[in-house]
Amino acid sequence: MEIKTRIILILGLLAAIGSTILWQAFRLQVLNQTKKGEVLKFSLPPKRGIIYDRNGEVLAITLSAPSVYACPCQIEDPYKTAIFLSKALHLKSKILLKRLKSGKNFVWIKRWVSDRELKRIRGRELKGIGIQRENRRYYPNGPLAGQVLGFVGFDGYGLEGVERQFDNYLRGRSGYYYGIKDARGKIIISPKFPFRPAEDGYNLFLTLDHRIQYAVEEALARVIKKWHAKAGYAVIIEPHTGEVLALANYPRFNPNNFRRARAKDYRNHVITDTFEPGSTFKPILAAAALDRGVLKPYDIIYAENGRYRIDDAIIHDVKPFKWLSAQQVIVHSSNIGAVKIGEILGKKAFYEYIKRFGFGQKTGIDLGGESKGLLRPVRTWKRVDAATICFGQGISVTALQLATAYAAIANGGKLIRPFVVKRIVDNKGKIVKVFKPKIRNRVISERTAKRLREILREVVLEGTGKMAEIDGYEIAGKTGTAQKPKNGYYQRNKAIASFVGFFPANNPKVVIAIIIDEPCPIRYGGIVAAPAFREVALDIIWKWHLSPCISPIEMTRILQSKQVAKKE
Amino acid sequence: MKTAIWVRHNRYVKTIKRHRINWIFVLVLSIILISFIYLTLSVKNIQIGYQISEALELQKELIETNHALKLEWSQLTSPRVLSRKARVFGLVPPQEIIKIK
Repeated sequence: MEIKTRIILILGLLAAIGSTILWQAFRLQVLNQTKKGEVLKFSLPPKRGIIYDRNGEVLAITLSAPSVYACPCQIEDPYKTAIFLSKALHLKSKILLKRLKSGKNFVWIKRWVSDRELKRIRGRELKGIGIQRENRRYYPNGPLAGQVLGFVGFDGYGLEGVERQFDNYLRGRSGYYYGIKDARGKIIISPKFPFRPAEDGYNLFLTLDHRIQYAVEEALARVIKKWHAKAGYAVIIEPHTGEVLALANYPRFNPNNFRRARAKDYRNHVITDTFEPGSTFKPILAAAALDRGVLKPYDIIYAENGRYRIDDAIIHDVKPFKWLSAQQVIVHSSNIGAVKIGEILGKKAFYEYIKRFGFGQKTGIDLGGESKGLLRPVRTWKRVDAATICFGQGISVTALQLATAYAAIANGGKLIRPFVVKRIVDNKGKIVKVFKPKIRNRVISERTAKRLREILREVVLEGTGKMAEIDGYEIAGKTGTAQKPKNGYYQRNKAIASFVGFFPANNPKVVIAIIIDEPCPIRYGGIVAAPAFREVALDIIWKWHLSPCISPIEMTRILQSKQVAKKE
Repeated sequence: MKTAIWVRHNRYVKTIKRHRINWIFVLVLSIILISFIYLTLSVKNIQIGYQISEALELQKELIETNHALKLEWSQLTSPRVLSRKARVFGLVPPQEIIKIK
C-alpha cells in the first residue's frame, strides 16, 4: 500500500474516532440534558427563627439532628435488622419488624436520635437503613418558660405557645435548586435552572426576662413543695407597658421532651385556667366604690361581729369585727364589710366596674387559648350572688386577668394589654415588627388609683399581707384565700391561696401575682403566697439593682433594729 | 483553480491561481469550534455547579456551627446550670446588711 493511501486511512480513522467522541459529548451535553429525568429538583429547608428573651438570651434554637430511616424493600433479613435496631435505638422489636416487613419504599425508624445511638448505627453497615439529618428545635434552658414557648412538631410546625402563635414568622420559607447527581452522589447545581435560596425564619425577642423567670419558677417550686400544693402559677407584669416579665406554671413542662407530655402538662394555666379569686378581688370592689364616690376610705361600716345573714346564706369573717372603716375592710379582709360596701355601691355599678377592669373578657395577650373567665350577666345575680362576688366568690378569673387589673391600679387607672413578644427581627438584624404597649381603656381615675395604692400598702403594713413586706421597698398588695367549689358546694379543706401586689407603692415597677392551688395544711394566701411574693420581689430588686425608697440612714436603722430584735 | 486573463483583441496574457472557499469545510470547522466552546463552557458550568454546591454546604455547616455554639453558650450560662455550680462552690445569696470596713 502506498504511503499516501496509508496516511489517508489513518487520518480517516482518527477523524472517525474524533467525530464519535464529539458526537457522544454532544449527545450527553446537549441532547440528554434537556430530558427532564436527569435534572432533579432539591429543596432547601429553612432554619426556624431563634427565640430570645428581652436581654438576647437564647430560649429556643434550631439545629440539625440525625434521624434513622429504612427502605424495607431493600432489606434482606428483616428479623436480624429489627433485633439489631431495637437494641441500638431502644425500640420495641415487634413494632420494628412490622415496619420493616411493610414492603414500603420508605419508613421512619426513629426521629432525632442521640449521638450515642447514632454511633451504634454507624458502627454497622446495614442494607436498607439510612440516616438523614432533620431540623430539631432545642430549648437550652429546659423547662424554663416551657408553657409559654410551646414546642415544634416533627414536621417543623409550631404546636403550642409562642411557637404556634408566631409560627408564620418563625417558620421561614424553603428554597429549591436544580441539580444533577454525579457517580459519587455529589450534587452539581445547575446555574441554568432557577435557584431560590431558603429564607430563614424571623427571630423573636420576648418581653420575658429569663433570670426573673427562673427566680419565679424556683420560688414557686419551693412554695409548692413546702405546702404540699397541687399546682402553682405566677405572672409578673410591667404595669405601665403591659410587658410580661415572667409567666410561670408548676408543674413545669420541658419542651425538649414534648413527646412524653400530656395536654395538661403543656397548657399555659396562667391564661387558660380560671379560679375564684377570693379576697384579691376586694380591691376591685373598693376601686368601684371610691371611683363612684359612694364611699370614702374612712367611712365607717358595721361588720356584724363576724356573722351576716343574706337570705338563706350566712356570711362569715375569719375574725369577728364590729366597726371598720372602708380602708380597714380591705386591710383586714372582712367579707361582711365587703358585702356592705357592695350593697352601698349597687350591683349594676359593681358589674360595670368588673367589666371595666377586664374581667369576663380576654386580656388580648398574644398567646393562644386564653380564657375569658366566668362573669354571669348582672340580671341573673341574686342577692347572695351579688354579695359573694364582693369577696371574690361566684366569679372566675384567670391569673393574668387579675394581674392586669392590679396593673391598672398600679399605673394610675389604665387597663393595658399584656404581651409577650416585643419585636420580630430578620436574620440580618433588621426589625420587621415592633409590638408597642396598648392601653385598652381608663378604668378608674388617677386619684382613686392613688388611694387604692395607699390602701394596698396598708394591707402589707398592718393587714393580712405582712409576710410580703421588704424593708424600704414599699410593697403593696392583697392576699386571697378562696374555697374551691365542687358539685355546687364549697370544699372546706381545699382552697386557692393567692397574693397579688406591686412595688414600690408610690411608683410601681412590677406587678406580681402568685397563685397556689390547694396548699396544705395551711391554706391562707397571707402565709402561703405572700412569702413567695417577697422572695420573687427580692430577686427582682437584686437583679435590677433597685434602690430603696427611703434614705440609706433610715434603711440601716430599720435593718439594725430588726437584727437586734432577732438576737433578743 | 486556474483563471486565464484575456486582454487586447482577445490575446492571452497570463494564467493566475485563485483559491475557492470550501464552505463545507468552514461549516464543519465552525461546528467543531462551537462544540468545543460549548463543551468548555459546560465543563466550566459543572465546575461552578460543584463550587456552588460546596459553598452551599459550607454555608449550611457554618450556620449549623453558629447555632450549635449559641446553644452551647446559652446552656452554659443558663441560670439553672449557674445556680447548680454556685451551690457546689458553696456560694450563698448576699445578706441584707453588708458591712463595709
